[in-house]
Amino acid sequence: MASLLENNLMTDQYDVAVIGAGPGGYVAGIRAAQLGLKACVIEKDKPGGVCLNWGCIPSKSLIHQAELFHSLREMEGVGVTVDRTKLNYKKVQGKSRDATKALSSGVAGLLRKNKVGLVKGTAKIAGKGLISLDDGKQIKARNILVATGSRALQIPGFEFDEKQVLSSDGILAMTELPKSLLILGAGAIGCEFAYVMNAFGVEVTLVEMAEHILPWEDYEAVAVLDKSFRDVGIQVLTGTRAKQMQRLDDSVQVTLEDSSGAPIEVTAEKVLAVFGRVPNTENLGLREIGVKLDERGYVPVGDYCQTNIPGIFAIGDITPTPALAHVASKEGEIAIEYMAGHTPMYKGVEPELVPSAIYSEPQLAGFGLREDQAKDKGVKFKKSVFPLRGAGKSIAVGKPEGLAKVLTDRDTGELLGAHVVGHNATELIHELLLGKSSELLPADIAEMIHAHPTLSEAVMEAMRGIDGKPIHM
Amino acid sequence: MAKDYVMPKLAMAMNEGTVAQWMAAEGDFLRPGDVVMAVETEKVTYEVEAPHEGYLHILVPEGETVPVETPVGKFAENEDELKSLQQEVQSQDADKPVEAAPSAVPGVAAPTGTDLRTASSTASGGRIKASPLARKIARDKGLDIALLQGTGPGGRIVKRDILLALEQGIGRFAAATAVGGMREKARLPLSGARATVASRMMESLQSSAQLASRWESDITDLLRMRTHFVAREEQFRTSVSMNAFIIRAIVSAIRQVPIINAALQGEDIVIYENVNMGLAISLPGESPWDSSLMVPVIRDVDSMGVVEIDREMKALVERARNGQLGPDDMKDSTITLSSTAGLAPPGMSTSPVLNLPNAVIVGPSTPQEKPVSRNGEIVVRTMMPMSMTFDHRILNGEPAARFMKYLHECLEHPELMLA
Ligand SMILES: Cc1cc2nc3c(=O)[nH]c(=O)nc-3n(C[C@H](O)[C@H](O)[C@H](O)COP(=O)(O)OP(=O)(O)OC[C@H]3O[C@@H](n4cnc5c(N)ncnc54)[C@H](O)[C@@H]3O)c2cc1C
Repeated sequence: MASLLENNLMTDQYDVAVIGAGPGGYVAGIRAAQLGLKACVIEKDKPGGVCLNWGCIPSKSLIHQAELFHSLREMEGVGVTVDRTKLNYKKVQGKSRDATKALSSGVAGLLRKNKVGLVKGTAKIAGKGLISLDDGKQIKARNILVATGSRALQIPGFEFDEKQVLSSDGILAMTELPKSLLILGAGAIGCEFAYVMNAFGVEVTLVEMAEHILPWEDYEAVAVLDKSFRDVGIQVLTGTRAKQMQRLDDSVQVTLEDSSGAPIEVTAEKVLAVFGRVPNTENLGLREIGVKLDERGYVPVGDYCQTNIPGIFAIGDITPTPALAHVASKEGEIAIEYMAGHTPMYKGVEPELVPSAIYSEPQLAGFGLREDQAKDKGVKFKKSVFPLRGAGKSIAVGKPEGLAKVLTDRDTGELLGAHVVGHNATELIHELLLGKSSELLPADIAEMIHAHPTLSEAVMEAMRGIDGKPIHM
Repeated sequence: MAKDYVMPKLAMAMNEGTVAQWMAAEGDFLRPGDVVMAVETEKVTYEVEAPHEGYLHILVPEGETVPVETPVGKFAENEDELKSLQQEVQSQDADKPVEAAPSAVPGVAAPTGTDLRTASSTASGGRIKASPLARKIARDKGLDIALLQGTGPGGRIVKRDILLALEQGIGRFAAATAVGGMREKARLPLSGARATVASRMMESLQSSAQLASRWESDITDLLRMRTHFVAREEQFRTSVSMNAFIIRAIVSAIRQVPIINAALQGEDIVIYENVNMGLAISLPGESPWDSSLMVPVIRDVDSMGVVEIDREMKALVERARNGQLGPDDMKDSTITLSSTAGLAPPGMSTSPVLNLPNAVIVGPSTPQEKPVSRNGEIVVRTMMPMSMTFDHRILNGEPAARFMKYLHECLEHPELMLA
């Protein structure tokens, strides 16, 4: 009895304790408070997680500034000359940090406003419903939601020193532009930095092991981006793997191997190694209390993001669902709504309803089935591709490259997948995604009046192409 | 000019209709009021009259289902116009295969551009909320969405509801007829869990000698005793329910009358040492109209206190709700509890059907406050309707009555459970 009493005095008691204040964790905390649960979020670093501090947000700030810088050329076309040699990249980087600071304190403010406790410290699960912090404090909670996110994957031989060999953290912290940059891995992060660095005048080589850059995106859409990259002078090497690396005094020499097995030597001032991410699931006490992890360290989850141990939930980058901020947030909402006794609309994130987005210029966004997958699976589909240049707006704003592509079920008309590449593609995708999630038919979007001139007209025209003919083609 | 003759919208929820029969022939001259065709909807068959005067030209053959507002025929002003209409059809027929090819479902108009537009405008006029895709699949598969329940946002019928209905055979177009005066709402297949319950109930009633008895127990003191347990919810990690106390009382009464906890095995009556309590649980059904029934078992309740019984019971119910019960969870019951407390109106008593091979099933129901006489005074007490059904092949009235009496006494004087 005595020990029970002591425990009660020493610990805080919550309905749910969230570990990690990334887009998964902080959104979960707020949702919990909205539903009347007593919640806290434990964070060892800054609120906002990778996304806000070392991911989505600072990278988008750099991309925006790269776009501005790049568009100066357009100004020259109308006689405005700007001395581009005066570029101070330290200030560019500084602006990206300002954005993260503003948003991070914004997250802290939101948590405060919603009366969600923000606990500073490194958390470890000490038992069922019990968390211990590095300062010895204990937290009791009916449910524990683990949202500890991920970190850059390091591959032997290509260890980060963050001076010559950078992770995404390193390049976001970098305050001086290198002369040349070799990027290993052409996923979303690799492609975005290829765009940014190229726009600021860095000599960029982009290397991808798979047959094309952004290997999990639709090839026809990716081909547009690939061409654009090559046109602006990025050297793109696909079907090529990095074999070994040698650090020299002021450069790095990397041996690559193309698909025929022939070696290629590339020397660059810096290397950005973006091979992937690893989940932060060590030293959390997960295994000790019996939570199953898969062979790569991810936490498999069932309905409503439950782990195999009742009362322990997992969301975001530590689960095998796509490592995206919006997936983490949605999973947080689902888990919390379930804990609060509600029945969430979905038992988990439905993969075909998750949009992917790459924010280079042109942008690329998509969801659902790709054409090659549809063919492999023997799906009977209809396909319609509308080139962006068919929408007058794209010519008016000087961004004609790109396309909107839709795949529908041949018999039911169900929207199976959509892929948009071009200016503002990451915004355009949502009309199509709404169409998919609300189960609209091609005619619903094709018949809807779209304002002229907009890029969204390309979406309408692509939908027209499914059962009829686009007008501007 | 010839006028279109369309499938009329005859009821608010009507989205499509079947041309059951053409009552007038191709080329007939009709006047307003003449009967043209019989239209079958999911509910009723209507005879429809001609809206205008003219020569009838038929476009849609008998037996075909089309969305409302789709032209099913034309009215020509004169015979020349009729002739040219008839020729038009022949020439159109020549390129038909190209257009018809995408339609995989016989009897449904090929989904050409025009048909789709007609369909979606109908959809927005109807009162039933369903996604366009759900409507399309339902139409193609001959499913009446008016019979389905939606699980999408705001109760909207979405694709998964249609797929589920197809799997379960709910909402198939019932043969419509106005003759019998009965209109079908749904057809539920007697299969799966529903068929199992049906056959077990029949078997129980037909193969045993069931006798039901009812009484009332004053649970005022028991309720008061329970408050001490509820107050210690944190400590016990459960808020002990009435059912746990009733189970405990049944165990006490079985100790007094062991033959209650028995079964007939061939020529023998087997009396069991341990008490495995079957728990009748009602769960959501496979369709929105029915419910499903399961009887998972809490093993060895005779060795447990009320706290443990309660925790086990709640864990079992939770697993039942999550669909996690396995065959082992349903095995080896020696007696069953089927409570309708909270579900049934206060004071109602039941006569539950025996869960074979158990000799006894106990059926408490919703308590109510009643004036009763205590020591010559009228006082208000909480009375719980109780019932028990037993198999007269296994035990006679005397042990049954003794069991009921002791159970009654345990409920009225809970301290007896300590015995
Ligand atoms: C360069 C880059 C760009 C990206 N761009 C995008 C993009 O544009 N769009 C997009 O959707 N996604 C993007 N991502 C991915 C996105 O950042 C992640 O999917 C997202 O941050 C995952 O959210 P999370 O809540 O699961 O984890 P995280 O954001 O990783 O947050 C986890 C938090 O938990 C904390 N933590 C870990 N362990 C403990 C512990 N033991 N105790 C207390 N706290 C702990 C960490 O400090 C961290 O703050 C990008 C990622 C990178 C690296």
